[in-house]
Amino acid sequence: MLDWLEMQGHWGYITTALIVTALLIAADLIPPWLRERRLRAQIRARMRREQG
Amino acid sequence: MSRWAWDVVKVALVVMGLLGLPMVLMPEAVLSSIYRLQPETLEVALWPLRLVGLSMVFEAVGTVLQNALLGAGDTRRVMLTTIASQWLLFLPIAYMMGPFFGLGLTAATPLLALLLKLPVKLLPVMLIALAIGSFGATQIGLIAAALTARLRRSGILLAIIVLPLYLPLLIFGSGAVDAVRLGDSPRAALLLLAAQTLLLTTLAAPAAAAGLRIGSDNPP
Amino acid sequence: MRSAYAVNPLLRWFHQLGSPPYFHAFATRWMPWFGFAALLLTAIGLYLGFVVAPADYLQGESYRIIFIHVPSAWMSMFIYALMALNGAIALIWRIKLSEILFLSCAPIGAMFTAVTLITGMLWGKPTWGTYWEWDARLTSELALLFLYFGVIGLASAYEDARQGARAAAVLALVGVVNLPIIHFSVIWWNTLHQGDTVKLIGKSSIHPSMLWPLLILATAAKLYFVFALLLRARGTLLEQERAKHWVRDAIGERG
Repeated sequence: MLDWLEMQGHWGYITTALIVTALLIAADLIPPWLRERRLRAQIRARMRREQG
Repeated sequence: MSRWAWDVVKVALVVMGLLGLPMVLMPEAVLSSIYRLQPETLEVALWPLRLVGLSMVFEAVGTVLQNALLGAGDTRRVMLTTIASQWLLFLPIAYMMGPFFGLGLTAATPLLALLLKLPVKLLPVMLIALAIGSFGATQIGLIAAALTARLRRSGILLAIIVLPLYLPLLIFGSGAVDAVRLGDSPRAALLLLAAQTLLLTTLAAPAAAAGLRIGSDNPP
Repeated sequence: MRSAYAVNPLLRWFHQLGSPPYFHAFATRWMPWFGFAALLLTAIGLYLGFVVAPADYLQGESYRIIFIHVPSAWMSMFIYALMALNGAIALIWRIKLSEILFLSCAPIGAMFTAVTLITGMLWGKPTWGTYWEWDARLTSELALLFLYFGVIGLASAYEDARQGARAAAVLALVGVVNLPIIHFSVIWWNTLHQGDTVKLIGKSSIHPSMLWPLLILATAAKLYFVFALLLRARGTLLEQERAKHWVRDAIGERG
């Protein structure tokens, strides 16, 4: 796999760097966002149960 | 309890003995089957492998009994025996192995052998760096142990914690050896190493104390 | 009554921030701004760096990776220092918000450190022919990644979240010595990694067409950090306070 990368030239490295960065940022943002969404849904569900 | 320990010793003797046999009798075959080595490298590795093979049997008995004692809670005796055997047994024997078998410094100090035949002129600075750095490293170990004391199964976490803390010591320690290799003075690196060790020694006790008090009735 | 808070508005604001409902409202209000600003500056910076700036005389095109690598490296150290500061405040004054901020810094810092290491490898290969070298700067940056992992791991290993945060704070403070080593290692050793071209004081030895994208992306990274920090801190706060009354009010009105 690395051999393939090395044959792509300089823009190959650049693109890989951009993609990896984007993936890592997504990995940093998505889990807390999902967790909070789930938490809010749980709390709202409990509120509805207590009211209804 | 003790009969159980002796039973385990017997099993260990057999297992380790069998493992050690090929190492002693056919080291070339063992090495060639695992690694692809140049002939010269293979030559160098033969005797150390034979020695390891011979030691397997003793390792078996020693390890099992030591851990049995530790498990039973008799840690003091283990500590005394370990220290005594190191200084009264292993080190003198290692010293004899060198000149007796004609293998020189390489066999007597396996550490150096691991460092791929470290030139002898680097030995003093390396020992000094090791002495200073090891003391700092024990402080790090103290802190890490205190922080993970309350946790169950903290093995890998301990490794992750300790490794990056060791690195500055390692960097300056090896920097000192490297300086001598290049012909410069190792003073700067050694002084920085000593500074780190001093800093760690000052911080370790309060940090460890704070770590131990977390979750107790007297939080830091 | 004359108190420090009456006199110093900054201190009063920080004290207010410690109140969970206030922090929740604060985070909710400001997150979008930081998020969009980060996005905008990132777009501008990337355009300037990857499209506008000319190819390097010596390194060709691949040098452009530094526009990601350098800001990430700065962030990896900056976040650690901030994290250690929050940890110290949490240990000394036991302020709950500081504990939460401390914990929230760690994964973000780890992300930036990982980006630094990977982009560094991708820059190193075309430029110097090797992905990795065990020199002081690269090794201590790797150590920084492990420090972050250690902080995260230690904090989550404890059953009690607050105890875990305090243990991790001690660890973070012990590890602070790594930061000067990374920063100054380039001056102390002449090894693989190149010297500091961008200086805080004095003239930087870098062409303006390259300096601008660098500074813009560095600012974007800081804005992103605030965004991500607020996101994580708010979530942790909600989780810890889920049974409280103010949470129901806050969620009720937002839905």
